[in-house]
Amino acid sequence: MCQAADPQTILVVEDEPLIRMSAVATLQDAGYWVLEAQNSADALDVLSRHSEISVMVTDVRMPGNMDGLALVTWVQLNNPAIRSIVVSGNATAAQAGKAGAFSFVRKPYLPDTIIQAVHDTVLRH
Amino acid sequence: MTMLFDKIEDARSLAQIVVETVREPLLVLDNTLTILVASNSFHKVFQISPKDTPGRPLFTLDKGGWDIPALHTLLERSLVDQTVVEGFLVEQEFPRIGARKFLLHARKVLGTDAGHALILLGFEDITERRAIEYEKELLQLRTDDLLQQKETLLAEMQHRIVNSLQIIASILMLKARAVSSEETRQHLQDAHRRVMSVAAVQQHLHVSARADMIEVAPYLSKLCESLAESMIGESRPAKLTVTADEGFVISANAVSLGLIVTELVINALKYAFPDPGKDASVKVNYEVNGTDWKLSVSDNGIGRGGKDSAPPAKGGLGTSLVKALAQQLDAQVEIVSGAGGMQVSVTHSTFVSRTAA
Repeated sequence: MCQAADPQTILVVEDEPLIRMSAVATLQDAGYWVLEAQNSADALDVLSRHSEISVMVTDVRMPGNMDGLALVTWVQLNNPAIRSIVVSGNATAAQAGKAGAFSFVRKPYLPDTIIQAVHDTVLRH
Repeated sequence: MTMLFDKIEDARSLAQIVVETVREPLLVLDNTLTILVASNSFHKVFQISPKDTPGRPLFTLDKGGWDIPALHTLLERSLVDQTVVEGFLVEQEFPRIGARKFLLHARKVLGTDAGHALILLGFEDITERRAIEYEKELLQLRTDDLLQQKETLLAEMQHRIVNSLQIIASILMLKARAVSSEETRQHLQDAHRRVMSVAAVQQHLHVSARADMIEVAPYLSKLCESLAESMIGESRPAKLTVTADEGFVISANAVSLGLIVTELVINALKYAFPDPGKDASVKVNYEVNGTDWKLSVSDNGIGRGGKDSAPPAKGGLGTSLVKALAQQLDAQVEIVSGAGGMQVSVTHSTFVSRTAA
């Protein structure tokens, strides 16, 4: 498991509470500061209040007007310093890349996979 | 002279008989577009009495019901251009038979001078053919729509399956994180690995081009990649390799094969190498001989002799699962253990390995 040398703040956007809890716990165990949001609207609110966020990990299919890919595009346009990782069981890496994501993780994922993706993203920041 | 007249009369009679007997409606018109001869099928199809056609200008038939602009165009073109006109579409509400679609075929014959020309005018009724074609197009559109719906439902189902598996995996990980007993944590992590293997199987089945048949080699490779990702690392170095013959299995059997491989590989990685080393190796091999096959998972570990690390003597959950799955596949399980490691083989029917021959 990778340990973050310099704690970074990660935003996890996921509508399924158990998956979100697990992702948050996994990233906290890896040494990151983790914030969470249950949908895109919630994520925009968290983003407006936490300028320290460096990486956003988001699901794609979520309730509300904006799905995860639209959220990634919004972040890319309005907060280009934040790098996004898309996690999804049905969207593709190509779709994530087109939306502006830095990385893509297929669901269901192993804890180490998501940690590695975040770690790689932080390193290349 | 009499013989010449006889020949001319014979030719006219023959021509009249031909016209009257052809199956498609046919008219012979003179250069003023007056009907000289009409076939029986013309009378029958257009429900016009045979008494009403000879000597009647075409466009006055049925009180002018045949005064069709498209027909004018066709016949004038045929008379002036001296050409054959094929497949001229006329869609018209006819006086007695209602709305019909005809392909008209016109040909000028006999004299080269328009003043003595005759026109053969044939009618090909395509009303029903067009209706069938239209029905077919509608059916195709409906089929496309249903296929699209099927794709959407499959995508939705895939999303739900993947999300459900991720939720189950998340619960197991959260529980493993919360418990204080190391043994319980290990059990929960094992369960997590099994869920992830099922997920890998599901993922592969979903992306396969054919939903009913699965290509074994890439399927087992993908599955073992997932297992290696979760089980092999700095604390447990090992090499996991897959060798498989070309072949396909039905998806239900693919699931069983995948679960057997999962159990055996987890078992080998957990128990065969109590002292992790660089040479640790687990091999998955799948051979095919006609309809028979043999799946084996072998390692170069300590075999069953290493009591400290070996699985429970009576067989744990993994062993029971493998036996049950093998039975489902109509296959037998054989375990060979020695100083050089252990091999578990699952053999369908009377398979004879090429290497043993």
